[in-house]
Amino acid sequence: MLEDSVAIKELEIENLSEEQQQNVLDEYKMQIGEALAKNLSEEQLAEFESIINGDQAVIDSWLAGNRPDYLNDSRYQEIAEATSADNPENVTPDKVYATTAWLEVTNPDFSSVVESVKKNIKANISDFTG
Amino acid sequence: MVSREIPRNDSREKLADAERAVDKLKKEVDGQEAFGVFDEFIGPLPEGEIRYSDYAQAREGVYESEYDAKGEARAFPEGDGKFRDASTGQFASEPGDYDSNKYYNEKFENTADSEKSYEDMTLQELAKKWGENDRIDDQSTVAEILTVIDDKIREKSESMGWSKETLDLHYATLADIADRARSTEGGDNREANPGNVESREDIAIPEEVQEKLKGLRARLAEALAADDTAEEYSILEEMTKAINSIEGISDETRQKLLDGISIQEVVGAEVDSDVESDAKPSLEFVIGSVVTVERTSGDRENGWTVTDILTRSDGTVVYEVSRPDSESDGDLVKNVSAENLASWQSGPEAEAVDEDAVLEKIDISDLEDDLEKIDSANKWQGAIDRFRPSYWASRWNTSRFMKRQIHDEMTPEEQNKRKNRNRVLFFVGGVALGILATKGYDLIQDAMNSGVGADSLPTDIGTGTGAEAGGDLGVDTGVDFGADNGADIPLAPDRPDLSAQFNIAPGDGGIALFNRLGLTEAQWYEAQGDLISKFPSEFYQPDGMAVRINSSGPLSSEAQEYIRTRFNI
Repeated sequence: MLEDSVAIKELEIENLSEEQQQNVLDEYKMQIGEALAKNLSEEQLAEFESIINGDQAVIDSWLAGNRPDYLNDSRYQEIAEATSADNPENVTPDKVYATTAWLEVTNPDFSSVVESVKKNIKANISDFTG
Repeated sequence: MVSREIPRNDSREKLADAERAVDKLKKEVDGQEAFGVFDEFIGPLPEGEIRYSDYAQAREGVYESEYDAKGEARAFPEGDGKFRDASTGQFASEPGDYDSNKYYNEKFENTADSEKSYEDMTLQELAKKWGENDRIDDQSTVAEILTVIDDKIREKSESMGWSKETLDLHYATLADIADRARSTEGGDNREANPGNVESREDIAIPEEVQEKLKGLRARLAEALAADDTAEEYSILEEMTKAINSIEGISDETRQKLLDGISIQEVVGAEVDSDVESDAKPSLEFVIGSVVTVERTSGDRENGWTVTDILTRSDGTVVYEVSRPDSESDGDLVKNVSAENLASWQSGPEAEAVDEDAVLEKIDISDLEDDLEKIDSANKWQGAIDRFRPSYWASRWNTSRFMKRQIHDEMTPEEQNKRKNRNRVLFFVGGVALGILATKGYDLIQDAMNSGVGADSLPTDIGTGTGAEAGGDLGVDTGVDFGADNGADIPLAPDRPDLSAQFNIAPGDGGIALFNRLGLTEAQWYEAQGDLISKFPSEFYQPDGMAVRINSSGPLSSEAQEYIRTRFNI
């Protein structure tokens, strides 16, 4: 996973064992999710769950309401290109695109949240390693 | 040079089917005398033709085997169980036919062996085999290998959505590998090219530089696969800097290394900037185009295909062109005129470039090891994997968060609800990181080039189960991250600290910087003119090229502020 590779470097945990790295990454993702959830309502989380579960009606509705021109978005086109074949688990471009766009719409400042969580985790790892 | 044309022929596929059938049958009669025992053997098969007799039914005519092979039987057994060739009338056991029988027998064995191994080979291994067999002029095997290569490339192309240019790059890379394999053992009298790996084998490159170059080559492979010209040349510049940073080597050795990547004056930005003014075509626009070449002799030759665009040390652009029927495949010319490009009607008179221009060609020989990475180099391809239910199921089941915030006093419904919420939040976090990683694709490469110095990290992180932190969104890490345990995470500050993102790594370009900031390539191009105007000491622009960043290290606070204000980050 690209984000795991990036996170391992950013958190500077390359020298940890694979299992330890995975534990930190899991924690990292969980804390990010929890931090972002503070800005979300239960309805929004339910909506997100429907999207990641591939509920096409919710996906269509959300895209129509929030990204009506998504078919012309270069990101969508890239995703569609990447999902055009070998897709046994029905990971559709709509679903992937809607998932990413949903996060950006509901948490436009999500990158700074991630940054804050990252700092917190990094700082505590440093303390821990002395 | 080995032809880059990959032949496509249905009959070859049928032949492969037929040979598989033979292989299967041959295994059944393993240990028996093949020829001369008509009810135990099928064949022989003239090369390139699909001719089989039906198993254990000896009669001349058109047969269909129990497998897929179909065709006219050319060799058939007689009543005494011996084969007789339909055209010569010779029996298999007759002296004059013995050798051919043996040939076919061996061919089947070789085919069976090679078919299995070819399928299992990587593209670069196949390319090497292609070259090796081309060297001994075994065109039958070459064709067979090319079929496998073609199938593999086609399959990957379809799954990856490669453009024609990307496909060409793959074929060209494979052809180069084949060409080198062909010339490895005698018979090739090419002049030594400093760009070739062979000429650099005696150079001792420091380990850390090797590692860096290895990483850069991987990035270059990805950039090539993504047709990201700006990135390609940015990486090539980094390679140059890495080589120039090596201490304790002679100028000659350094030059050899530089020749090996031949990048010191290759600047894609120049080509890009020319595109905007329509003075010259873009790399993407021209590669693959059929053009006319006019040589210094005045001869005009039609039907050449542009295969590459290079920039010489004096800044002039040269075009690599090839023509299938020409022995001088890979010629470099200064200018070409297009026959079929509306926006590039004609160019100045062309002239042949002297041979030393070949030294400036980007040598992609070092990409052999990265071919597989090319194959998988699609940033969204990796991102898609994040959305596979199987991935998340495995991640979730192996993570400790199934029990996060779940207490014994909860009802089963409450516990399930909490588990589900945890799952969704875990996914949210992963998606957030995924978006950022995909946006800042260069970030991973930058990070890969940075040291960690964390040798003393303890080994007991993440082994505890932790206590419940309390509160719906409290943080029960399961990992001891300190007393705060995430509870006091400052969320969404007004202005995040972006100093790390503004820290320019050696070789960083503007696009990489902007990507790191979450901005787009288009936004870089939009701002570059203003940036060089306002901060001339931090940005510069070589004649006719794109704006570049002057030096590594943190960008000035003024420049940072300007970018942040302009793009509201």
